[in-house]
Amino acid sequence: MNTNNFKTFKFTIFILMILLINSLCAFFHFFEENPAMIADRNHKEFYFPLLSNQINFNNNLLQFDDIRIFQKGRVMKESEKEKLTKDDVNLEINAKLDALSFGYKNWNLSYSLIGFADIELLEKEYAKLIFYGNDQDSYKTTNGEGSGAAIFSKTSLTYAYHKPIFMKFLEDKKFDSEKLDKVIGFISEMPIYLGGRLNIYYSNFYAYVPLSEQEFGSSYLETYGNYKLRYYFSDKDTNKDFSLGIGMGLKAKLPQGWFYLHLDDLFASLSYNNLKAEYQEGVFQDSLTHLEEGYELESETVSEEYRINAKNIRLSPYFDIGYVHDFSKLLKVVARYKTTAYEFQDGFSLGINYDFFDYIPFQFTVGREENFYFETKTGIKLSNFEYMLSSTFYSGMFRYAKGIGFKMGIKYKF
Amino acid sequence: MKNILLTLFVMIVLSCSIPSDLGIPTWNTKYNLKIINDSWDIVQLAEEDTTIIVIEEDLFFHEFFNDRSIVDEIDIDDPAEKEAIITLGEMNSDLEAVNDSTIIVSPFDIEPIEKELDPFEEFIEITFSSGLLRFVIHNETSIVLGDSPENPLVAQIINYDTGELLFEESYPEDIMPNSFSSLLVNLSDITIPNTIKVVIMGGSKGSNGETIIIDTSEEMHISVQFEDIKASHAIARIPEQEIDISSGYKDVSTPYPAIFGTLELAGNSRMVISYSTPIPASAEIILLASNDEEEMYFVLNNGEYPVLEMLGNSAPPDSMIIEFQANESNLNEFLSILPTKIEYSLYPIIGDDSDEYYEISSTDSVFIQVDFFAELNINADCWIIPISDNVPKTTSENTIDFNDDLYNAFVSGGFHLDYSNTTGLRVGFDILLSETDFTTFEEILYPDTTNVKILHIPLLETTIDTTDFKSVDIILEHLDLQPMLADSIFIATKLQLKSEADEPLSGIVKVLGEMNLELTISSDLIEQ
Repeated sequence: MNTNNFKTFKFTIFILMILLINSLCAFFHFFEENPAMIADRNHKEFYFPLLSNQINFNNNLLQFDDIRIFQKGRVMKESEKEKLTKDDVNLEINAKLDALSFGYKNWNLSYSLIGFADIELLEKEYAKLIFYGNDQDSYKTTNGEGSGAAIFSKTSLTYAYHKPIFMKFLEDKKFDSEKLDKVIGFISEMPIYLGGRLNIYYSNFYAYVPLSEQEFGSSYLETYGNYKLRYYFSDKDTNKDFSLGIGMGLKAKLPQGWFYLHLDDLFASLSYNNLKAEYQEGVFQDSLTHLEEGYELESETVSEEYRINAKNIRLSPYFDIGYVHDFSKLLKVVARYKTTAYEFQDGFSLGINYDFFDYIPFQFTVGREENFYFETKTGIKLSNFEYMLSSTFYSGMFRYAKGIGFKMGIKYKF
Repeated sequence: MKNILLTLFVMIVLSCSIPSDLGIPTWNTKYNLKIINDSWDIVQLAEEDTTIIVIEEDLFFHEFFNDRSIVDEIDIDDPAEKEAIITLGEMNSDLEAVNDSTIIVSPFDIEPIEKELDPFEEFIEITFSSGLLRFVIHNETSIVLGDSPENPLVAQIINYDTGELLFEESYPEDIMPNSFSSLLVNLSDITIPNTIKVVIMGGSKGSNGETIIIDTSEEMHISVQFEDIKASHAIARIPEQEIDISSGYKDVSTPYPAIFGTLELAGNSRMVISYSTPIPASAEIILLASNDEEEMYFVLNNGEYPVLEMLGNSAPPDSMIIEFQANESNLNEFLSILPTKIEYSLYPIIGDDSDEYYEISSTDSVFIQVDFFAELNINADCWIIPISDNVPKTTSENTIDFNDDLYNAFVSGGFHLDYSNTTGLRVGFDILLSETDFTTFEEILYPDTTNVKILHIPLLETTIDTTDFKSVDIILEHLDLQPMLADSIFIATKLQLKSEADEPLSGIVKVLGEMNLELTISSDLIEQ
């Protein structure tokens, strides 16, 4: 076995172990991102640089099983054509690399590199034209229009107040309802931990396709095929700015669990100045009237490069709310609702976690935004070391999924 | 590394059928492309052609030539001789007193004596280009006329109406009694009206020292005679006379194709001759149409060449016209040979034997323009092959980019044509594709189908009107594209025409053409 093969073998074994662990399952905290989570932290910790990361791929139409369609030279079945033309094919990708995270008690400093892309691979009408040909006079498609990608870094300084606060001011409030009085009484006694976060964003890369038009038509007025493509992206001459955003979170102890609320990326934006832009246009036009004076078969392409001044992308705020119910020390369930600007696991989700032997957590979450997703997370949780692995299937499981994500992290606590 | 990741991905999605060669699959797609929406309006096409014209919505082949014959010198019949008499008494009135006496007459001066001549009937005015005027004096007196050298006898011709001296000549020698003397005057560039008078003056030697009996009634006879005259301008009776023969040829500009079969003109063709001539004229015109293979003379139904009888006094643009119709001549046959050249000879004769006076100059001419109008009412059953330099016209297309991938991508195809045809002419096409060039007409007329692929577009039948559409479908076989696998391909076309000459060529051919293709799209094709 040569060196390369040996490396490949080791890597394969490593991945198999991950899968095995995945199948065994375990648990980490659901609301790890919440700033209030470090309020009662009494140790130091850091992430192993570059070993904490995640990546997700998702599309809205094709399952993994459909990859067999793309065998070079394979003759497509009619059913496969139908599938490819059922809807637009959009590919979403996001990735996050936690390059640095260092925590000291109720303080934390982290630096992450985040990227996300939303790419329209195949518009429905465009796909119909390609796979079935033309059966109508004209087609106007915008295949690829609106596709974009951005990469930015996020440096976060998190602080959580180390003591719980209580809403004592509610103690004296009395209502006509005994039940309501009991609830208000409970809330006033409820320990609440608060945290805040200051984020500094730096824009690393941006690309966007604001215009991608394809026109094709063939009628007795004319036969034509045109395209227009405009895109811009950051290059070495682009000025990338810093911007600020804030986040805040709370956790509140309930009788059998915890309530969590997390707002983040408030006022966050990515700014780019002096983007490089390109415009391409191709025209083919045949008026069909070959005998008319001035008839000309028009065929030309235009390409233009220029620069645009400024582009500001405002990131949607991160919102996360949920409740973790502790059935026992080892078994917990969660219900949450989350929206983010650059992650997939949005929407409402239900999850369960169980700690095997106290140190092998397993979590399984089912969520739904536009489609269902299924996330499994497992790892090892020791007193001074945590290792986490996660995989997510979108819109189905295994070969029937339309997307997949991986997440891993290694944390050392001391 | 790529393969490793791919393998891992397989494991992750648990037994997905991962392609061994990930790439673009293959599928069949049908495309329908509209390729033609054209109308051939025969009238509009004619307007773009210099030899096809439209007359009252009918099409005519039109060709013409013109030429002129210069009159040059005008022959005029010699006018009749004119005479005048002067008596001795008119010459010397002093002699009246001694009439019948026998005396010696001393020399004396003859005072100018004017004598009007009778007007010339043959002309009103002539400017001579050549000719002579003979001035003869018969001295029937007893004295000597002239006293040379000091005082010779002088004769003048004067315009009667204006008194202008036309010319003056002296007799170099004295005219003795009972003798005569002639003067010859060159008339070149001299204009003489038909009313003139003669003037005699000078000296006389008298009886030259001899004794004579005076008789004052003795006479001097004067005669004026034109000889061998030709005019550069005349208002005169013009006798019949030939002028310069005009001849030449006209190349027909129409680039005729090669025609195999019957193609005849059968309409109301006509030859229109526009002419102008200052005086009545006639001309025999001989026309010879020819092409590389045959020639034909234009003749009337009686087998003779046409003779143009032309009235005078017309000049462009007020030309006068003589027409020859197809039914009184062989005009349709003459033009049906599709001449590349028309030769002509014109033999003009001007003048007549009448007493009419005509004004004519040597710079005048007889102008003739011959216009052929051949109505395009065609009796046709033929194949037409475009030619270039007398060989079939073919085109060569570079097909080096058409390779096996493109050839294999073609599954099936064809053309669907909807058309209306109100021209009265049925038209079809054969498009021939070959890897080798077509060098003879036979190779196109009777192609070797083992080497030549033929795209046959059947006859487009006539339709009732432009809203009445018929359709034809042309199937394109896979093998039809085989010649395109060569680096270059030669394309020849032949056109099939059928018409029974029911009506003149006119109307519109409208064609809506659609190409239907079924292609196999593959990664190889996309890479192309």
